[in-house]
Amino acid sequence: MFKKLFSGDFVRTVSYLKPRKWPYLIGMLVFSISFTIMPLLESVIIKYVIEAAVQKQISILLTGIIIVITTALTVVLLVPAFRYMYTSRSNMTTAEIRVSVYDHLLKLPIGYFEDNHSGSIVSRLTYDLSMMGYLFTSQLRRLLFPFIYGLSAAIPMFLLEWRISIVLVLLNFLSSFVNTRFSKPLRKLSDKIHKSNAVMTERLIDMLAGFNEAKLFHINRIITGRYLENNKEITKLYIQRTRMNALLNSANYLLGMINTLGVLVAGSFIVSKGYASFAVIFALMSLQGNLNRAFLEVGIFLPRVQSMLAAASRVYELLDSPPEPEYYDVEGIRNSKAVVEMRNVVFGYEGERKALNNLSFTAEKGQTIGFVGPSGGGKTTVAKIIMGYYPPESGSIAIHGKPMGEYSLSKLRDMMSYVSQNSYLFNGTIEENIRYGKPDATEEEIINAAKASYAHDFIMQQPEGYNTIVGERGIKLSGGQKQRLAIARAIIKDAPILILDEATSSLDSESEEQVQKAFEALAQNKTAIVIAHRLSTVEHADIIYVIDDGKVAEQGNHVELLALDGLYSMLYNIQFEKEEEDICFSNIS
Amino acid sequence: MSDKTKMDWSKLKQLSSFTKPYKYWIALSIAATIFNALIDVSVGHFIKNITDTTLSGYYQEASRVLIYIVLLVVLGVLVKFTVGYSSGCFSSLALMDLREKVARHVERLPVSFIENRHTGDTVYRLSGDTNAFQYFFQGSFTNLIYRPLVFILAFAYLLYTNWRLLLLSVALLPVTLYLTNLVSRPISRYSKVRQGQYGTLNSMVQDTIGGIYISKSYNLAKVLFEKFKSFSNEMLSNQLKLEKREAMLTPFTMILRLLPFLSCAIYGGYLAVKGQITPGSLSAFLYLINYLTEPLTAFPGMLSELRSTMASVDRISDLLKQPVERSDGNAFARDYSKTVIEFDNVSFSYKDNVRVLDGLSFSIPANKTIALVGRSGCGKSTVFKLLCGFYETNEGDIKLYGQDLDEWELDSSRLHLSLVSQDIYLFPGTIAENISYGNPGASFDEIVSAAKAAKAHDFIMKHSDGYNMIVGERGNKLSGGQRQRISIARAILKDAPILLLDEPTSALDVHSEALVQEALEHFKKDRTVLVVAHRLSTIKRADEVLVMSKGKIVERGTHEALMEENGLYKNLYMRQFMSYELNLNRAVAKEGV
Repeated sequence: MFKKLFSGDFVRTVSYLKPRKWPYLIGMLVFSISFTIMPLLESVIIKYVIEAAVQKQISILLTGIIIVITTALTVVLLVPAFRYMYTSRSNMTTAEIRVSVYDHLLKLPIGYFEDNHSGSIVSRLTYDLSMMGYLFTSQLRRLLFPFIYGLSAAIPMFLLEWRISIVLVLLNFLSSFVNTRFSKPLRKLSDKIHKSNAVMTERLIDMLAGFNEAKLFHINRIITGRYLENNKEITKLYIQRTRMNALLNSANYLLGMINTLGVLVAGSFIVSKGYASFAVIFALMSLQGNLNRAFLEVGIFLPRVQSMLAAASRVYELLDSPPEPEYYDVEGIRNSKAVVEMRNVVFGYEGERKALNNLSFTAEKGQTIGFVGPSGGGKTTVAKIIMGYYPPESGSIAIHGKPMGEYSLSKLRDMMSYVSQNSYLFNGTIEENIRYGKPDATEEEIINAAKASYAHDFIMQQPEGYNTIVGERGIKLSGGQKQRLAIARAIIKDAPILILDEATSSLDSESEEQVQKAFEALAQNKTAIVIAHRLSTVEHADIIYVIDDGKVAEQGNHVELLALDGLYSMLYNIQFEKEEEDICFSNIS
Repeated sequence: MSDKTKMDWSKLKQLSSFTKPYKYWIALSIAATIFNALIDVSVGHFIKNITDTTLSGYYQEASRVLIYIVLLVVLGVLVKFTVGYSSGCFSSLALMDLREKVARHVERLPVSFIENRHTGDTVYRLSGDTNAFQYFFQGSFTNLIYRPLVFILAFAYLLYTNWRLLLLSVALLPVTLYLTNLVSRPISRYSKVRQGQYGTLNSMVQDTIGGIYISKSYNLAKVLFEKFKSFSNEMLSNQLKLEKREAMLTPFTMILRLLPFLSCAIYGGYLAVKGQITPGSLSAFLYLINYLTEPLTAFPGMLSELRSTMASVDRISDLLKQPVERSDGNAFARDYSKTVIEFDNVSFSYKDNVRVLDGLSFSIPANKTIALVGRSGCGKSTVFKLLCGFYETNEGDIKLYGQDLDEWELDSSRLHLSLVSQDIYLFPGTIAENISYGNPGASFDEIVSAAKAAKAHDFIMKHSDGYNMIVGERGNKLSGGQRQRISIARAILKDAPILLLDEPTSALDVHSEALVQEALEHFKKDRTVLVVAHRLSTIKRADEVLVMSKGKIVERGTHEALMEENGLYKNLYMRQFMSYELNLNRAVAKEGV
């Protein structure tokens, strides 16, 4: 049982206190001692009082009074400062851990977020962390506390009457034993409950995230039903735990009463036979109450600590997840003069077929290159690799002539502006969201970026203008408006490499056209990689790469590709067939 | 601030109604608690007896008392188990019911409410706040009975035994209590703030996770970190204020505990010295005085716990109070003779001033495909939201099959609508599950047919798990185009007579788009379709085009008719057309026209 206590997780958790260990320990010590002293004072006073009563001597009483009052006053004056010293340090430590977990969260690779439900990640930073915090604020004290308490009771007890004391101590060990027998099953239950809680949170989030869909497809019953199923399960577990706890409490009560009354009865008997004074017996009774409490505390302490450690281990799981490395080990390409060049890159998501299968392309300075091809063919994956979201399995990549491995991921991303099809906006104001592109931007720069992305007008139409709150995930804006803000964000970043992933497909034709113009202006002197489904978006690109099945199927400029009469040509014709209708009509009218 | 306001007992009462079905448990729990109190106080009495009898040597008498005590203890064990188990049981069951009710209520809330709240906050109300409710009923509730009862019983007994001693012992209590209360009052305020901060913490973390792509691509780690750190500091500072108060409170609680005991011991000792009370009585007094002080010292803690429970209760009530989506209305049948959709002078705004729709009027006959065109933000998606009954119009009427949408039962009206929006949401689960949501009772074959029709079957079969592939949260394991096709399959499976499409093929490559368009064309037959279109090709396939601007329909007609009008539509068309000029010439040359 104590082995568990000193397991890795426990030591690790406690080690967070290191920077503050002295104020924490001193505070906790003094606080615990003062907590101990008060009940002890009671025992002292009992002894003096009863003795005075039996011997009918006031002076004894007076001595007792003086001792107690002076001690009490000292304690009362000291306690607040020391308690605060201790609790403040606990809270600071918890806050520190929370901040460092968040910090680590930001560094985790994209893969982690794609593999874990947001609910479980959130609960680690909230619920689990709070549980960990309790360890510092209340539970550690309970580790120290019983020892002080127990000793401060046991020593006087033995001094007063060692024979009875031995029996009492043994009885207390018995109650401790009983408690620890309960601790394992209790902990198992607590773990189950905790897991169930986490799943419930996930189901809740699903309910809310897919709210509209659930109504529309009238599947509320199913979605909510999942949550409710969990609800029932967890209730069963709660009741099981309740029963166990109630049993344990009753057992403790029984044992406690046996001790207390045992002392009283046996003690009174001894007194009546003249072997000891009644004062001693009564003092013993009071002291043994303390001893009992001390042993009980240990019993309570263990399962609680275990469930807190379980919470801590979940937090550590997150903390121990390897963060994104600062650099990826990616080879370069000799004599590469391009801005971005990929050669024979292979990559696959876990357990899936390869998304990139020997892909190669080159983007020279100032060029606009286009990626087209069937959906799921690997176009977006190329962007993810260039942005360093995932490391390639093999192949070489050179950026500005240097191996990609020589750039830190943050430097890499500094050089790129990425706009995807469905851009995410943070909950905050419009201005804040644009500002994320360049945190130290001036107001003028923000407005200019908004104008360049044709967002300024609709922003000014909002009642709060740039201070309008966009809502969770930007829900208060239309798709096109969100997109234009995302584009303003990219514009203000002004990075030398532009990556656009179907950035305008959700815009109406007029906005699209305007934004297209904005991009063209922006793309001057920049290297742009445009991923598109519609060929018209990339028609004017310097080079177009047709990506299919993770490879480059064809490449060249628009004219060359048409001449090849291959995949591109086919795609073009399909699209073109649609426009042929236009031609027919326009000729008629 | 709010700690000055009286506690809203009515809200607690409202939530207490959740415990009603378990009234037998509650009765048991209360009865057991009462017995518990009686037993605990009786022990004091017997202590007196046994002490006195033993000291005086009346062993026989003493052994009789001993037997009583043993019986009492055995009873006590049973009673304590009952208290613990019954209160744990009914509080857990009541919690289950409460959560169920709140969840079902949330399910029926209007979209307009949910879209205006952060998910994290609502989630916390259903988890953290309901937990607080259970916690209260599990422990504090019985304590609210036990402690006062024990206090009264002990007080009565001691009063009877020696009223002078008792009074002296408790003399200084009222002052101490008053001071304690004074010191502890701000604590509830800090607790309430902390509660709210936890909700915000939830939201912040959720937001960070959602925006992790952006965070990485814009190197926002530092910015976001600073934000979080500053919030964490706020939380910490509030917590420290709370701790300071608690620390200040400690001496008072200590005194509250010690003082009566001390006074009792001193005066009692004095009386005993004078022979005015027996040692037994003194023992009983010293034993029972704790039953007086313990409830009192626990009082401020209980009070603040009660206050924070109230804060949670408040938040839950708040949620329950929200009016649900209306469930009245009729389940009209599809009426082929009437206009399918009609908007009659509809005006709508999300917030008070900005009118998104302003006197919008149009009608859509059966089995026609109508394209809705206009600049982004002009209200097109809002039209869909109103049709789906997610929001209600401010002015004007919407008619579905000739009947006012207000008269329709919402579940029923939605049966007739299939929506494929741009912002596609997939539930975490398998592909098959997601498609099946279109029609939960569908067979697997029907699901596969729908997937084939949406041109999704091929990519599904390419994955090793096929239809059992987990799509991940929000479908993040699929590409945009794949998600779109699943969403289309879902709509196809639903087989509703009215199809609402919001540029459904925007994320698809030309090839897939052509295939899906073909499938949709086939699907559009004998259906009424309203499609929001940005792309000419989509518009061209429509029977009629409605041009929206600033929340109104400004032009309508077939493509040709609109071209002749020389208005906004032509303007839009020409602009897009211009960019195809080169291709046009090329095509003309190719065709030899």
